[in-house]
Amino acid sequence: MKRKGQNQGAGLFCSIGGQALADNEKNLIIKCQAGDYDAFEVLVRKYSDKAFSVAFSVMGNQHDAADMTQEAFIKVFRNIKKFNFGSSFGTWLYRIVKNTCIDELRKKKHRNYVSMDTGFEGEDGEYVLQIADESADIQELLEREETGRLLQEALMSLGEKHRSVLILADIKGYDYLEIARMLELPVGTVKSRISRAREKLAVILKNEGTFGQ
Amino acid sequence: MQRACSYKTEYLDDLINGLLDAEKEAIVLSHLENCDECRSHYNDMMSIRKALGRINVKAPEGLADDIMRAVRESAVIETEVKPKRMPRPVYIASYAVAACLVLALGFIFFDNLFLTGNTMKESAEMFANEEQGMADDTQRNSPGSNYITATESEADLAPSPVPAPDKAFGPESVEPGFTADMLMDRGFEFNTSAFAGSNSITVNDGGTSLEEAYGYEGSQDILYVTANYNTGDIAAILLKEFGIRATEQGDNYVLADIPSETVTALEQRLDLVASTQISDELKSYTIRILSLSGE
Repeated sequence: MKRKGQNQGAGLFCSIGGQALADNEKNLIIKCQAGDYDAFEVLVRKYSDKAFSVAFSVMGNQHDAADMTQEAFIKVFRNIKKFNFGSSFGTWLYRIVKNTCIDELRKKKHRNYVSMDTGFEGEDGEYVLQIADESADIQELLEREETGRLLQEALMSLGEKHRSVLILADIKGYDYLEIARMLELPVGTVKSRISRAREKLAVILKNEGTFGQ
Repeated sequence: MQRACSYKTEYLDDLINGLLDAEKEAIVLSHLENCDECRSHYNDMMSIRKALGRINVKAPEGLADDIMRAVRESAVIETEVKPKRMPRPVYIASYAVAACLVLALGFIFFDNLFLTGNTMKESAEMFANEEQGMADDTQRNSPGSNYITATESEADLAPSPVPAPDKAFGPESVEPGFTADMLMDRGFEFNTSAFAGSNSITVNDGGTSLEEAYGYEGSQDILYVTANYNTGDIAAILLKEFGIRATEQGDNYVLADIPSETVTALEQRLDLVASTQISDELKSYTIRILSLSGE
């Protein structure tokens, strides 16, 4: 029986997607494998924003996302000798970020705790708590300025897989292709999950017009 | 049941995401004027997009610097206090041990619950502790066993303890019926992965990805769960149910030119694959959850 677990599909992504590791990135990774911090810093500066986006999409708040990004990079550096160029560095990194976040969510769930401490920041500063409103007209609710907390709570009540695609698409503005690469999902799945996530969010907002009580 | 308007199912998402060409966009917009259902859906979805788009999320300033500082500090700590190579984290290598634990736990659970009148929570805590003790005994009594207790000093490399189910756990929690989603909630990866643009997918289970992700060798616990779950099974399902012949490449099966509907269908089918193929292994995995939940 063929046992999976070694040299898995990620290695094929490069050839299938027509992506070749850039030579300079490969050289950087080889230097990192020899313990070169400066080379690693180049990778950190190149990838930290996107890694943060992935973390944010799973965690749903900035504070935790920053912590998880940092933790994931530490794991990457510790284990970079094991990186065998089977996938792009980005793919490997985002996977580690995502798994680190899922691990953390699991711990938080165990503690029945979801951080709401940071909140979202809108163009005019941090959103404030949504006041209860039984009318729950979604368009009306969303046009108000103080809907950030409402949205955050609604987003956090979505499952991780719906929340992550929605955040990456509608908050971070990545296109399907990019999201598919970041989360290692089929484009069709990304597309359908985004639609489903928006619909779920609409239902939550309509049904839970009294968020924040 | 009333069927959704065909425009809603076929075009609205693309309109909302700005993916329609000008001609189609004009047709769909014209349709919106006459279709309450589509117009309401469109307005709701656009409101959500707009509201989410107003949220400004940026990586904290200096994140890269913080990361590098943390990386260097963690490396220093590692060098100064080189951790003694500790036993591998909890792996249950023997189904026999697992089966014994299932029976023992079930007995303890019901004993606690019904004979002593403890609450569910108390019972759960009790048998989690009991189970840990049993595990230790098992390990001591079986020198050849791979059952090794997790240690705090290795916590950073080991996968985190998986939380116990929300409800108090008992024998019913080890019944089959786990789905792919439930596994993925526990941090497992097995999915159909497509590389965008090529419209091709590669099926994999993710043993290596977890190994890479967590940096521990072997991923034995994962492999126990996924032992009967392999690409060959998926390839067989693809051929039987979708008429798709996968091409073997190394350890992978490559599937080319798969319509997106099939990818979605396959993804849904994988839930069934997971629940039917790995339920037995999950019984032992559930034991691992219990053994760590009393921490």
